Amino acid sequence: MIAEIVWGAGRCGDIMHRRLREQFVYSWMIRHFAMPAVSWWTHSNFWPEYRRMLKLEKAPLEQLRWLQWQRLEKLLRHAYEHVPFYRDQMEQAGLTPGDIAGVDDLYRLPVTTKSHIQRNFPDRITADNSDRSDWQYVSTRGTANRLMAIHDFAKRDMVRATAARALHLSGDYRVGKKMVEIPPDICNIVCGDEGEEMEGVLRFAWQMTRRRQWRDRKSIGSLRGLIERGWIYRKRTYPPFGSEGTNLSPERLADYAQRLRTHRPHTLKALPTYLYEIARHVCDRREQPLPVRVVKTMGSSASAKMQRVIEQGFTGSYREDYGSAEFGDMACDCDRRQGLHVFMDLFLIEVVRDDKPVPAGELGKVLVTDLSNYAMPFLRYQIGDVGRLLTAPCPCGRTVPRLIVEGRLEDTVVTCGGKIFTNDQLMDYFYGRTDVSEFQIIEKQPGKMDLLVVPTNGDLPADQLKGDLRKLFDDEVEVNVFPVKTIKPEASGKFRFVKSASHERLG
Amino acid sequence: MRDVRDDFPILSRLIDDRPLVYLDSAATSLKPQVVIDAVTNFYTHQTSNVHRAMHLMAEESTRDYENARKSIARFFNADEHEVVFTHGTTEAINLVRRCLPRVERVVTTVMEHHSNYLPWALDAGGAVVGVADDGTLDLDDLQRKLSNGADLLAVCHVSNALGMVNAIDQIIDMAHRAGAMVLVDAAQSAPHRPVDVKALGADFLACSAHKMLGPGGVGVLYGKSEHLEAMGPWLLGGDMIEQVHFDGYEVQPPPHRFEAGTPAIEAVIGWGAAIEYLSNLDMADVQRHDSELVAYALERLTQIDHVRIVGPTDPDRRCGSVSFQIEDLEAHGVARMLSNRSNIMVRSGFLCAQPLHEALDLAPTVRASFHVYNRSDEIDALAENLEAIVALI
Repeated sequence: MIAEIVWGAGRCGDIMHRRLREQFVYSWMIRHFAMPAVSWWTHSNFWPEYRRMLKLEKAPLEQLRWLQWQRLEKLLRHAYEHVPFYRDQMEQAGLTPGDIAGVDDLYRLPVTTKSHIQRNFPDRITADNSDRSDWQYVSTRGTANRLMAIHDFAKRDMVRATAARALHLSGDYRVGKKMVEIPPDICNIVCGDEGEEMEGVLRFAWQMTRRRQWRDRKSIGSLRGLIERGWIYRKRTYPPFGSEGTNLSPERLADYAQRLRTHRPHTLKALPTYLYEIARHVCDRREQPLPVRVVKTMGSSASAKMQRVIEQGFTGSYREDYGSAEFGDMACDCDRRQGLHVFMDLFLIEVVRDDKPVPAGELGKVLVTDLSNYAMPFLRYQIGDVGRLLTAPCPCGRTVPRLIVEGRLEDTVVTCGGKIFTNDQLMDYFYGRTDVSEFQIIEKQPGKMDLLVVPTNGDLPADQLKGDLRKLFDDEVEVNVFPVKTIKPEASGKFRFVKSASHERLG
Repeated sequence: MRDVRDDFPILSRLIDDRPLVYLDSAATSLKPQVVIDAVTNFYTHQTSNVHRAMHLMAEESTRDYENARKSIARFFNADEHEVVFTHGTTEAINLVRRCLPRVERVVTTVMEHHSNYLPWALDAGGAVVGVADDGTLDLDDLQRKLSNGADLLAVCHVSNALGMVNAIDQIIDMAHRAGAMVLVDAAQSAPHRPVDVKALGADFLACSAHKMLGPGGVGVLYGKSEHLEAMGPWLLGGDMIEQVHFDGYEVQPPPHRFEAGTPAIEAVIGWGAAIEYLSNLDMADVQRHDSELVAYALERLTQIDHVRIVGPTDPDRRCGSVSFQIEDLEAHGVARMLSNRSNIMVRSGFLCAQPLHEALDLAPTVRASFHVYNRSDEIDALAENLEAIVALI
């Protein structure tokens, strides 16, 4: 008996050791042999850029500021000379690039909105001197309301490099380790295809050979994508929750849990709602936490209370980065988790109210200037998020600005008394209640709300909720409470728990 | 045909101070003021149920409802009792599938809209006729499938995805010679050209009001009297019965036998107004106008690099729409760009005809479709925007 236990323990130890060794060796080989080889074969700067970026992380703030200004100055000139939309915008504001004498002057440029981009896409918002043969159309998730953008080869390299940078800095992921994603939908490349190619690399390469497609750019691009997903990131994509909404059946949640237990990825990225529901499923059943070292959200961040539940359901830690399809990753947290360190060598991020920067730490709209997209420049683009910018050095020692994103602008309630409630604040409020399992606030007009609630125990404390919400908002809000069985996702697959009609009051 | 744009109030809508270019009429058509007035009048002055009450308003509603049936029957050269109101084309086709007795072997085609494909193609007795590379129906294949034995042929008059006109007279003749009845999906033809059910000899014909300038939620099934008489009811409930007893019921004769429950009264009345409107325009002129627009769209779009027309490029073989693809650009992306840039509304995707796309190995397509209110300058706007988009490819 004792011998069996010892043998069993030894065998478990062997398996774990072998798995660790395999992951380590594989990752080491990918980093030291495969990545340089792929970069050479594809003429890609992804890997060298990634390594340069990691070195820059340790650079002094003054050096980064100088670099940021050099890149901004060049981008402004380029946009003025080659992008009709920005030339018009600057001329209407009575500006030329020379009038912007430093990063602090950038606020003088008009804000670019999604509507501006859509109205001028693609011909008036792209650079007339850009090589169009290597453009790729990318889009944010969702069909109807998505924003499309164009990346050239250089920008695509940057997007890949920043993705690797965010994964490494925030969660110690290195290429070659296993990763799982659970996105709200599948494809965000406007490529004419209907979704990601999920077949194997070797099989695809064999088909290319049979069809004599080794000179076909599209096939080469697809193969590169497959290698990137399958071999470099070892990425698996699990299907989204779908239209069932937040309250997925226990069977399906158990299936996700089982797949993760079997696959044991280093990093898991998913919608915060997915992570929260999977973690809650595990915790409610008092099962062992799922063996995932780093859990990250995509689409939006998780509120503080959601993070706690997620960390209980997984063995690893919850980490965050900030990015979008049109920009790639723009910031990521460190192990102190006190805001997201902005990649200021590549992005200039502002937080504004009434288009003017707010003091450090104050809430406002997030604007992004992308310093590395020359095919389709984004200057002071209102990305649709609200957050705060912290300028004090981080306890981790880095001195770059840190961003705290608190949700989408359209999910931010502003009372007529001027009190602001971000998505994260309201999520924490409701997830802190024991009588509410899930919720959705639909503000039909400022001060008039429908509150959909999935009650914890089947009993809906409607009057209690109404009274509590009036106290919370400190305002004469009119609330109607409705019990529901689940909160359905939007058409994009993402969830919106707060739909505000008062966000324009934010300024 | 006279310029009718002023009859359509929605065309005065400005989005960001720019006019609307509506090129999605194959999905649903815009509504003229006369239709809006007819529906509004029902709500404002005579809301009441039909075929039931004895009061004045009910009498008015019943009169207008049945007058609409008469108008629609005249429009298709059918008899009044051969016109069954349904929720639309889909329900009309499914009504035949459910209620027509002794139908086991059905031939349909790969070019059908899903609503005329799914009811038949996947059944044990279903056979699907293929198409040539340009989307033309393969008549040899049709002949083979009919010769194998068929009780019913379910076929579209005009393909919703390609806008291609089938040689419907010849096809009906082939089916009848093979001893099969014919159900014609006229959803995309009836809005644009005269459709005479007697001249066609169709056994059944289905179409929808909302594509014919009428309201949503109503369509018709035309069926030859002898066929409708042979069909039992589908839905049981009010108005479809003569008498109900503890131990049984007696059904009404067609068409009321198939109209259980309170119908979409205001939609039927609105459709009656739309039919009168189209009749006053003269359907021959409507067809001419459509042909001119299709020809012009083909002429403009074929001149643009990277734009590939899907389906035949001969305008005489098309009706109501032109489908196309742009090299290396996804259809939904193109549609959204047109909408964002210049308020041009087109349809994109598989167009509810995925089997056809698979048969032709096509990625999703973009479709520009037209109606009486469209003008050539709107096609110019479409072409100019596409030129700007493809210039960057």
